Parts: sequence; C-alpha cells; structure tokens
Amino acid sequence: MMEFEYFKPKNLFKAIDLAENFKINKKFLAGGTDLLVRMKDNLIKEENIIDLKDIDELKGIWEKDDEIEIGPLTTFSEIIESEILNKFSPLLVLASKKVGSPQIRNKGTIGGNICNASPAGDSIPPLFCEEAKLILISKNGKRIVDIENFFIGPGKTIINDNEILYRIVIKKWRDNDIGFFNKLGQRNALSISIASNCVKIRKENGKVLDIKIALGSVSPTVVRAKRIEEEIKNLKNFDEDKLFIISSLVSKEIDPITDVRGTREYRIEVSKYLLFESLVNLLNR
Amino acid sequence: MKKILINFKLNGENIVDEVEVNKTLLEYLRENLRLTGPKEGCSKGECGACTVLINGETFNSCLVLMPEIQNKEVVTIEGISRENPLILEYLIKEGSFQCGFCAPGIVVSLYSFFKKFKKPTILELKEAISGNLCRCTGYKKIVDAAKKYIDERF
Amino acid sequence: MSLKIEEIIKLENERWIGKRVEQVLIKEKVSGKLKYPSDQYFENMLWGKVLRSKYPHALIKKIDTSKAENIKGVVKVLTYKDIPGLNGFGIVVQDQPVLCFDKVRYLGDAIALVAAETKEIAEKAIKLIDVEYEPLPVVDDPLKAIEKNSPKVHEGGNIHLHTIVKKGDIEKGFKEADLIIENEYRTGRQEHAYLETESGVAFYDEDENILTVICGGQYPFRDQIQIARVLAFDPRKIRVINEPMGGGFGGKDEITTQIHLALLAYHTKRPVKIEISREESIIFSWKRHPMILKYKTGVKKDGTLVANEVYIYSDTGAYASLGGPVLNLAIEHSCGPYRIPNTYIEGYCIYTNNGVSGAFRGFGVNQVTFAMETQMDEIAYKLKIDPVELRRKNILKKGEETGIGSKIETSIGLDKILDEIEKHPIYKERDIIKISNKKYKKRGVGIALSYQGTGLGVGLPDYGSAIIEMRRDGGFNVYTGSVEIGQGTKTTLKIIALESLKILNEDKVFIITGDTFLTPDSGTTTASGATYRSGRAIKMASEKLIKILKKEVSEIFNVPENNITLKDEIFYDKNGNEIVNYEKLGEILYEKRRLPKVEAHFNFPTSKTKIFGAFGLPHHIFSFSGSIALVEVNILTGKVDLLKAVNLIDGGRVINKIGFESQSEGGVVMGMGYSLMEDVIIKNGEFLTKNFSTYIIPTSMDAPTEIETIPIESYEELGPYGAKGIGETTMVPIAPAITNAIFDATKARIKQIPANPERVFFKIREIEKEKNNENFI
Repeated sequence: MMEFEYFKPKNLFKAIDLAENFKINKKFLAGGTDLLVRMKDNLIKEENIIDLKDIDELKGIWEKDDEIEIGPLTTFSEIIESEILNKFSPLLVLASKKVGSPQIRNKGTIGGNICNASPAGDSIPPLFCEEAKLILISKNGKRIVDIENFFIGPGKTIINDNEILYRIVIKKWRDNDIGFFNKLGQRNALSISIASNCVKIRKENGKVLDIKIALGSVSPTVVRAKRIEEEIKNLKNFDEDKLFIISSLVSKEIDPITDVRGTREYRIEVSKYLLFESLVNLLNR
Repeated sequence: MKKILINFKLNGENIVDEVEVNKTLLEYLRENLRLTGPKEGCSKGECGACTVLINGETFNSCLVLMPEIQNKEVVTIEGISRENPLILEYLIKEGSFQCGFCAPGIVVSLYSFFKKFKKPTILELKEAISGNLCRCTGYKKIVDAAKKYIDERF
Repeated sequence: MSLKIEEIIKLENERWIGKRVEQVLIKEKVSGKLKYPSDQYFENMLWGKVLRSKYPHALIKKIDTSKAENIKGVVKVLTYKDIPGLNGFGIVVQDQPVLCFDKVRYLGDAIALVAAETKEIAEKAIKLIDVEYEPLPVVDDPLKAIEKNSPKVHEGGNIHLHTIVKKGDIEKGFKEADLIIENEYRTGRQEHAYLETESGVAFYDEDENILTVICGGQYPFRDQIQIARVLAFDPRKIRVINEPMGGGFGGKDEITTQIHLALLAYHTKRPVKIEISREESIIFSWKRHPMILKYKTGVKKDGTLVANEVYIYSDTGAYASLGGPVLNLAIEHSCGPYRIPNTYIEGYCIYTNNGVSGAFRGFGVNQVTFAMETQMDEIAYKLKIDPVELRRKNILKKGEETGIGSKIETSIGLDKILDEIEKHPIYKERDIIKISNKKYKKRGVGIALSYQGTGLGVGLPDYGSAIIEMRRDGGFNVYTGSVEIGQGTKTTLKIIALESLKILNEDKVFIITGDTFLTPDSGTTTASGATYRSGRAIKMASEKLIKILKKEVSEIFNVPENNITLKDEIFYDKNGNEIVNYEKLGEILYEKRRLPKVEAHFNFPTSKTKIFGAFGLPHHIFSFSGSIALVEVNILTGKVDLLKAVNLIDGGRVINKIGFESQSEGGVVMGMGYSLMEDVIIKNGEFLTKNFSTYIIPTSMDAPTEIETIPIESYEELGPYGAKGIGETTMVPIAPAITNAIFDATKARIKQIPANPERVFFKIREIEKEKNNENFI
C-alpha cells in the first residue's frame, strides 16, 4: 500500500479547510471500497487522504417537505434499511440492493459512488431518474448542481478541487410513481454491470404523464434517453411491437466501449432489449 | 510511514496500539496479532475470505484501514468460535466445507446474518453469503446446514 | 462373475463404507484454527518476492540487481547465477527456467528473487532490479503458431506434442453415414481460482542440513525431486509438507512457489515467506488448456455412430508442464464413451506466449466432452431420436473398443446412468417443466455423458503406499503420502482404515498425509486416484496388520490362530467368547515392546495394451458420469441461469458419503462456471482479466439451490471396497448438459464456451434472423 498523510477532520469546517489547502493533492475517503483498491494498485498519486467519516453533517437521511436529503456518507446498507427511502424513493433502494455484496454495501457510500463517477456506478442511474440535485460546499459557499451536469466523463466530474459533496437532494415519490432498475451483469452478485437502465414512470389513467430513463455503463457517463422519453409520452397504447421499436432508438443515445465485460456491439444491441424489458415490466403489468 | 494511536476492541478485549496509517485491518490482524482466521483471498474486496464484524456488521477487512476502526468493536472468527454458536454444529454435521479456506469468512457472514434475521428465506440465506466466494462446495451444503439450523431453531 | 453390491455389503457387514462421517479437520476449519501455508509466520522470518517478466516474449540482455541489493533491509537478491543445480523444472520435461537468464516466454516467467526484512522493502527492491529486454513478436494464436514462419517460443519449434491415433477406415465410415455433422468448437481458458493462492514458507536447518518447504502441492515427493535437482541437494533431506491447502484442483500439481522458497531459505539461512497475490497467481499459474476442436461425426439414420474425425489444437502456453498428457487424455476420450468403428484423431499441443496451461480437474476430457456431447445432441435433434435413446444405442459395454481402439475391461456404469436420467422427473417431464409464464425467459433441459480414465495410464510409474502402526492405547496411526487438497481424501482414507481395521470408535484412527518426512510416497494426488492408490494400500496394510495381531493373540492367549475372528475391535474365539479388545491388546503389546507397524505397496493396475504413438494411453479404470441441466435463458439479454442440476456418478462404491456429494456439488458449480462465465482473456500475451472482478466464478446467487447427486454404484473389483475415483468426472458432463439445455430452450447452438450473455445473445439473434424474424416478438 502506498504511503500517505492521513487526516480525519472532526467537522465540516475543518474538512473544507483541508480541501482548500490541498486542492488537487488530496483524495476524500468515504467507504473506500473503490479508493483502497486503487491505492493498492498504486494508481493514486495524491499524497493526502482525508477521511470524512467523523463528519456528522454528511451522514443521515432527512425528509424536508416533498424532498429528501441524503448525506453522501450514507452507506448502501443504510439506504436499503431506510424507512424514508423505502417509502419515498424505492428505485434508489432497488439499485442499492444490486451493489457488490453485503460486505461492500456495508462500507460503500452513495457519495463515493457519485464522486467516483464510474459510468457503471449503480446509484447513478436512479439519481438521474430522480433528477437529483447535488449540493457542493467549499470555502466559497454552497452551489447546487443538477446531477445531469455533474459528470463529464469516466471518473471525471465538475467538482472543484476545494469542494466537498455535501448533500444529495431528490424529490419524494408520489403514489402514482413506479420504477424499475435493470442491471445486466456477468453473474448475479459481486457484479459490475455490462449495461443497465433505470426507468421511472408517473402514470395516470393508463397514460404516461412523465417518464425518466437513465442508461448506465454504455456511455462515458450515465445518460438520459430523452428522445425515447418523449416518444413514450406520445404513445397511445403500449403494444410490445411499438415498445420494441422505441427501445431500439437507444442506440442513438449511447456510445459504449469494448472491454473485458462486453463488446461495443453487444452493449448497443442489448441496451435495446434491456430497455424493452424494463418498459414491458412497467407498462404492461 | 506515519503511525497513529488506535484504540479499539477486539473479540471483547481492549487494544491500544500504534499502527501505520496505511495498514489494513486484515494485515494488522494477521501480521501484528497472528490472528490467521481472516484470510487473504484477493485483497480487493472481491472474495470475502477476510470478512470480520465491525460494530456487528460484516466488512471485508482487506479494505478497512486501521484508522477507520478507531473506537470500534471488531470481532473475528476467533471471537465467534470461542462462543461456540450453534450454527457451527450444523455446518460440521452437514460437512459444509471442503478445503475450508472460505469457512471463516462464511461463518462470520452467517453469524451476523442470524443475529438480524430469525426466519429468513433460502434466497435471503444465499444473499447473506453472496459476498463470500467458495470454489469447492458449490455452496449447497453451506445453505443446507443453515436451512436446517433455521428450521430446527425457530 | 462379479457380485452385486447388496450381496457384498451383506457378506462383509460393513460399518463405515458409504456412511456420513464427520469430515477430518472440519472443526478446525469452521473455527478458523486451521493454519494453511499462507498462515505460517516464523521468528526471524524474511519476506520473499519474485520479479516476473515485463514482456510476454523477449530476450533478456542484462540483469542488474545492484540497486536492489543496496537497499537497507534487503538480505539477498538471487538470479540464475545463484542456482546450484539445474535451472529448470517441469513434470514431464524440465523446459521451464526457475529463474530466466536469456529469454522470457510469458508474463509469469520469474527472473529474480528478493528476500528482505519486511514486505514493503521486498516490494521496493523488486522494482529496483534493472532488466534490459529486447521484445520479440508475441505468439498468441495457436493455429498460426504451428505454421512454418511463426516466431518460435522454444528452439525446437512450437509443437510440443503431435499425436495421431486412428482405427478402422475413416473414409469408408463416412460413406456409410446417412448424416454427417461437422462443427468447430472452442473452449475457454479456465483458472483454478482456489481461494488460497500459492503462498508458502521455507526454512533451512544448517546444523542438520535439512530444508523444509511448506506450500500447497499435490505430490510432495515429486516436489522433493524438483527442488533437489535445482538446489543440487540430497532429496532425502528435503521435507515437503503440502497440507493443509486452500484448494488445488490440479493447479498445484506442478511446481508453483516451492523452488523459489527453497532457494531463498537455502541462501539466506533464515525462514522465508512468499505471499502470492491474486493477480500474481492468475498471471503466473497454470490454466486449463483452451482448445480448438474440429469434429466431423458420421451416423446412420437409426442413430448408430459409424465415423468420427477429430482435430484438436491445444494451447499450452509458454511451457509444457502436463500439456502432453492432457492432449493424450483428450484424444483418448475424444469419441466419448461410445462405440465408433472408424476414427481418426489428430492433436497438437502448441507453445504460445499465452500464459501457461497445465493440469486442471478433468485434464483435457472437459474440452472433448463438450464437443462430443454437443455433436450427440445435434445428431439426436437432426435424426429426431430421443437423446437418451441415441446414447443407449452407442454406449460401450465392458470389453468393447473405445475410439482409440483400446478395450475397457473394468466396470462400466453407463447403462444405469442412462436409466436414471430417463426416469428422472426433470428429464421425463421436461415438456411440462419447461413451461414458463415469463414471455422472455425460455427454459430448456439438456443432458450429457462423460467418462474419465483414472490413474496415470500405461508406462508411467503409478502406485500407492501406506504404513499403519498400532498405538499403545489400542488405536492406529495411518500414514500415506496422498495429499488432502480439500477434496476429502483424509476422511475417505480414514473411513477405509476404520473399515479395514474393524474399528468401532472413529477416534481410534489418526490419519497422517502429505508430508515427505512422515508419510510414504503414495504417488500423485491427481487423476482421480488418491482414494484408489492410498485406499488400496491402506486396505492391504490393514489386512497384513490384522494377520500379525491374530498371530499375537494366538500366542499370547493360547488360541488356535484360525479360530480367531475380529469384529468391532474385539477378538473372539470359535465359541464367540471375547478374548481381548484392541485397547487391552495395545497395552499388552506395548509392554512386550512389540507394537506392530506394517507397510503395504501396490502398483496402479494398467492396461495390458498400449496405444502406439500416444504415450500413457490407454487407461484401465474409468469413472462414468452423466448430468441433467435445467436452464432458463433470458432471450432478451442472453443471460443463462442454471435452475437445477442432477449429477449421476459411477465411481464404483461410495466410500465417504458426504465427500462424494460435496465433490459432485462443487463439480457442478465449477462446471457451470466453465460453461457460462469463466475465461482468462489474454490478448497479445497480456492478461486482460487479472483479478476476481474480471475473472468471474459463480457466487451463491448463481449456483443452483437444487443440485441432486445420484451415485450409480457398482463394485470395481480392483478398487478398495469397490471404489474407483470421482474427483474429476464430477465436473465434466454438466458443461455440455447446460449448453445442450440452451439449445433445447432457444435452438441456439453453442459451440464456444464460456457461453456468456454476449455469445448467447448473438446466437439467439442469428436464429431469429434465419427464421426471418426481424421483429422477434
């Protein structure tokens, strides 16, 4: 394991100070399930590790009117066990259940998953569907970023060197909301997704009032399939033929790579079917 | 490498020690304390052979830095087996392990699981050990033993 | 005239054979107390590390260790110059350097060793060893590697072994065929993925001149020889302890870390530990040979097989290890357990720079069984014959010729296996079971048969030995060199000892295995032979010992020897009166200083015939197996789930019931991994899958909850209590059963494994296109 300076600020102010101080020469440690692996592989050049786990303001799940605020240090297990999230954001809970393994879920955090910015991060597609807002904090104050604008490439975000992810804000679900998280992996646990999608639908009287579709692992960042969302909103009925044709449009929305888990061709093709599967599940139940 | 004073509980005992900040809990247990129950199978959190309990929950100790267990309670397979929990009897009777290398990690996962779930389904049982790889058994006799334990206990 | 099992059991009044017995050392395993080689730590211990090649194929121009040697805390840096004896190892040919000096042929090739006071210093030192390479073109395609103009991995060319075996007249055979099925199959590069890597420790006692190596391995006596050759050291002064071990599966048969450990301990005169990381293990260690198999099978329209033409291209990577025997065993089994009068089988074992391939549970039979059982499935489908019926028509009977022209003269359980498959509800009612209300998930049922020659074959020394001594407390110590690699050997052999010695209380027998200083050489723990080798020897030794004890009892108690019977640890006279029990006898013999100790040796029975041009063939004793697989295919994504599996195993008699089932269940899941998800991907000699996040083995969520094991018991007369061996065959037929089930579900014919979601997906789309189904729903 590489050598480093270790800091464990007791409160947010200290953490902000350290962030200001070290700028790019630092890495935040949340759960560490990703960071520690890279540290062991000698892929981390930064010399300062700032452990955020003593900072209470960053932990917790709060109901605030029609919104929910989630602290970035919330682990996936805590998300799964949260009464608030089970009731008001079941899609996030569903996706969290698919992360890694019980041990990984006990340690890995939603904040880490977001800031790590892997296009395969399982918590990200649901947050896209929820149109989450991220509150970033620094010496300069707070700024709010739409999750869609947060990612700019694999492992890259628009977070500034002196900023810390402070809160994730999502809207509560309404009674007529339904959702599906579809992750295709090489196996059924401890699996990094080959392709994934998340679909959230607001239905009323058999019509789709609103639909959000987020696609994971098939582009440099998670992406919304906005063209497809529009097409579905215009549908008068949900015949499977029609759903399949619309799902096939997904190939225009994505730009996958070829890696050990799958080829670009497969990812393009299977994304159509994966989305079709999700839509059939939600619309033809 | 800088050292830091760590204060924690291990299998019921208080420990205070100066440890390098970049030492993982797995390395500390095995190399500093010669507690070789938790095993190194992959060192990346992919196999669960190093599973321990921290404040009652399961973690891959290969991905825990020593500073992270400050003021926490760690329990290893050694601590659990000292209690001689009944599940061990079922695993022994069923013949649930072959080479046995994955056993400490699986026993820790099952132990923690049974403290939380009294009457789990088979699916939940399998999920409980989904982060523990086993190459010898196909998991069958492990799940069978756990199922018998549940059926006869509850 | 062989007896039925039921009759034999009645005659012998067996107490232990086939019973559920507590597995030896399981208490220590579940409590975490058992210390594996990677758990060993010593006072004054040094940490060793291996410098491995930076390139898959390169010349070494210069090795400069000076910077590494000057680091504080580095005790020794070793290169080829520090090797006292032969700089080479390998089970068959010693073509692999212990430490490379002029050339590297794969990324796992070792160039230097470091011993240092801490792990960190050792790692630092490794990075400071300067090696100047001249990269060479990488040989990564086995088909190109055998062409004349291919770059050479070894001086003698890239063909390590070329074997041709034929029978009858292949052209005539094809003329008689009403249907000819021709296909090319490809199998993946499977990694053993034992949970414990090849870590170990070694120390050197300078005063006694004894070198001790503790490292997972499958044949301590061969390790001894391989180490001795390199160190120019008396092998009798090398103690190798292979147990306990966190899994082997054939991957620890060849040398892994033993010689490096010995060198460092020898040179530093201090205990040394080498910890092998998972990534290092995947890169340097042996893999299952990926094979390209071309099959052309001719059959009459009534299902009678008439001809089989097979070409096998086996990628053995940089060094031979057991590549030759693997190829030959594949060839021997390439036609399946079927009667085929005309065959032509040609195989190549090819050097490339793609890692190294070696022994792995199944040893070449997995690959050809996948191919042949798919051919059979295709034939059954095309001829519209029931898959069980097709096989029944063609399976070998005792005394008939296999595809290579040798006869199986020992027990064959195939008929019964087919009987059981036929009446099993999953097969019998498959049309009903397959019905699923999920529109996009299709279910299928597939079957497959396999067989496995046990033992090393003709012309190779293969034997078993055991020593049994009586203790003062009336118990017995049993010593045999076979190794407990996690397959249950210790318990199986203990059961045989308990039965043979007529013991009532299982705590009376203590079994010691896998240590060159304590146990006699009982051959290699491979080829499904440990139960057979050591079991036979233990039974023989027990019989010898009991004869001696009866003689003692006769003398001491004045009872005619042939009036004495032994049952449940007690000696009785002809009137049924108790003379003495083991406990008392032990004490008496101890007083007289006459506690007996006996040895037994035997040679593994081999075939009386030899196959010309194929060393080692044929084998003599075979285990047989069959599998039924129920799969569910998500036709939208190509993902396949194995819902239920049935394994039918003819290993002769079941000795260790729990062990038998465990090997079968583990075999199903390992075979499932081979069939659906496991592949070490190497491109241009570089490993793309180096850890458990990219090399995928089944988790508890992938393994079926229902795995049924049906023992097909027969009595193999040459085996201990009728047993043969099952370690390998338990993992073989499930793989083609799964791919045949995929065909049953979707009509997508899988010819390349692993059948990962991508491969299955594109096969399904191909089928849809053929059906002119643009819109498949």
